[in-house]
Amino acid sequence: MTALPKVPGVIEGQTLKGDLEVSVDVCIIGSGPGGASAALAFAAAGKRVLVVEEGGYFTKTRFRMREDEAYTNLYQDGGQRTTKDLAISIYQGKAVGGGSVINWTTCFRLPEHVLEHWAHKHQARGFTHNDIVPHYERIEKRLSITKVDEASVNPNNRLLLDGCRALDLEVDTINRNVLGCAQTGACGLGCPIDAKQSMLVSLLPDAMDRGATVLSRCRVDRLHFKGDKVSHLSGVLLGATGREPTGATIEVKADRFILSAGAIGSPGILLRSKAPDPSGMTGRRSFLHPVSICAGLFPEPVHGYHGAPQSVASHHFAERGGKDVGFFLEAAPVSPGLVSTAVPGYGKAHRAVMKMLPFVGGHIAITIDGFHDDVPGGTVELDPRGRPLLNYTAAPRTLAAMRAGHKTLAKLQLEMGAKEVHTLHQPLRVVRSQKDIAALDDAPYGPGEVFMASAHQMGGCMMSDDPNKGVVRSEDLRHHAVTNLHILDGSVFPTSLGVNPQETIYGIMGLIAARLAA
Amino acid sequence: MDRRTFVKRGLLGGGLLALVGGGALFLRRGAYTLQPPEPLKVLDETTFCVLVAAARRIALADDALALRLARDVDEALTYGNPVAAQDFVKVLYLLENGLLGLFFRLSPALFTEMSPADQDRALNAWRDSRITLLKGAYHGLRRLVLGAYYTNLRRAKETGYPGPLFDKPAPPAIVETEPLSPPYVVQPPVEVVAPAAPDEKTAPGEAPAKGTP
Repeated sequence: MTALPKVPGVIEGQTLKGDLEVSVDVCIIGSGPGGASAALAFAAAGKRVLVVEEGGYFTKTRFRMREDEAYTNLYQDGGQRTTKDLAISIYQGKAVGGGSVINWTTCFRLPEHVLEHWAHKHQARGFTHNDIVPHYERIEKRLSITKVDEASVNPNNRLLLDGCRALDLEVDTINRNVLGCAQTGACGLGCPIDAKQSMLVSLLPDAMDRGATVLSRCRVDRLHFKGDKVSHLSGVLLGATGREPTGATIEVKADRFILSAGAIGSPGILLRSKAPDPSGMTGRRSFLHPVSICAGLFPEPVHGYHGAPQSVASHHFAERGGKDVGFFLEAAPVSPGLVSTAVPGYGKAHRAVMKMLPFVGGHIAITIDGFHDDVPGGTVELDPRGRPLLNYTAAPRTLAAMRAGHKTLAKLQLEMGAKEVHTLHQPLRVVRSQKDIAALDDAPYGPGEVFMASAHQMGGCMMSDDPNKGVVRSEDLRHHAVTNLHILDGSVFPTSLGVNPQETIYGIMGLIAARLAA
Repeated sequence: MDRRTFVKRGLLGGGLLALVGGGALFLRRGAYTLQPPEPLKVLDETTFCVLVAAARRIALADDALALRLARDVDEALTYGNPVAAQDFVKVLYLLENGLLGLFFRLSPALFTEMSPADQDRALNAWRDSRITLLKGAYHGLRRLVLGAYYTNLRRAKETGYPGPLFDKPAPPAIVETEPLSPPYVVQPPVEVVAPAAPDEKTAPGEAPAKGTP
């Protein structure tokens, strides 16, 4: 065994030789919004911090706005991650900086009613909205989170904005975490000019400036337990592409472990480690904000691949009341690779749609899963090699919301002049009139019958102050049965959020990290 | 029934059918004479040829491009989940299997030996199947081939996409044991982001913008 170099900064795992043994105060697994928030808090408190990250240390010299490079380098499973039944494509980051490196920069504070729902329904009462507010304010300042000026909205988002107004739906521009944005449209491919204030250029450097070390290309195999504590973790180092282990192993001992591997990764590590699970909830209640998409073909070019991918949102249908699952409306970038996998069919018919790409407006309805008893979410399982796999079948009520989302978006796109609207059903369905919209009531929504995707993964290690109902307690997100293990990422949410999750993660994890480091 | 179970049962069912009389159909193989441009990483000789045949139909690719796309899919699979990649290989075997073809689409022909119209019918049979996992296999195959086609910048421009807003020079090739990026240079910390006390309403200051190498 050799010791890891005790230097702040990034150590790229693929460059190390020999088996490693490390001892630190705090070991953080994952470098996304949750892990970076924790790293900064503990480093600022003078703790020796090691962040281990499976993804690679990709920086702006490698961010060239190229889909062929970005998906393999920056996404889980090279961009091929899906649910177990292959029905829902899951877009999830894997890099130093986590999902913040490839998200579309949309920032919302968590709606207060969601926090109230968690308190009443799931006994998560460890913090209030007012507790989080200072952390929202802090991160909004640090990440330059500001409201988009309507004049800078790209044509794709403009269609959504004007369409909602034409239909008398609530709509507004959103907040984004950018500084000097050049409107490349490449947020999902890694920002080529570091304008996006991801963890890669903000909280992680802040933590490293205070002594934290980030070890990239390090895959955690499992946590080891002694009594009611994690004694150490074991893992392997990976080559630069992240595909194969180098043969070197690592063992990390720490007083405290922070699990921030995301809503699929964190429960996966706990399951692989056979962690105590008194509630039986590890891996349960996983949520996806499943997305239905309408691609409208407009008479004038939209050029939806350039400009900020998301700058407008409508939450008009977020709370539909009663038993109806809500949804919210946003835009999506119209990148060729991304669109090609979503457009149904193949051969000539597919090629004909792709040839219209500059004229395509892409808008999405994001369903808000987890607030109804019969919308319980999915389950993270392990595949035969011990890798996490999400078993998620959209509940009937969720599918009804996706249908309602399609109908709303189709109406909006026709209102804005679309010649035809594609709902991405298999086989192809084309909407050209109000009558066609009504016909969507008969459209199939089973697995594989319509394109579904998720860019927001939540739950799987839900918080509840009742140890029989949750994996962690809410006041400090400490594991109910493991006293030196805290989970700081989106996996602790008992439901989905109803908004894009990154700012909620910064806010809540910033609060909890501050409590832990104090 | 999940993906793995289905694939296993499909092959097992095929094996049982073979035992009761369809052995010749189940075991029949094509010529598989196509040569991959590079050594294969996930696919084998048979499944590479099946994928080339599928790429011709899915991406309207000529022979040279179909070879390239199949090679690119083989490479892409090395970045995916290894279990899913192996399942994909088995799915290609299912598509090619004569006896299972008879069962699923009433045709014993091998996919690689079908006419283009029959290949489309075979793909559509999976697309329209009532079996979720066959639908999933259809989409997985389609998405991998189309993703390989359209994530390529030159081919993406066929759609009218003009490409990135500006050019950036190609970075050094990725070498498995070499750093991906220049090292982060630690800077003196700025008094900003120390953890807030619960009652603190504003941050004491702002950190300067930081960039990456």
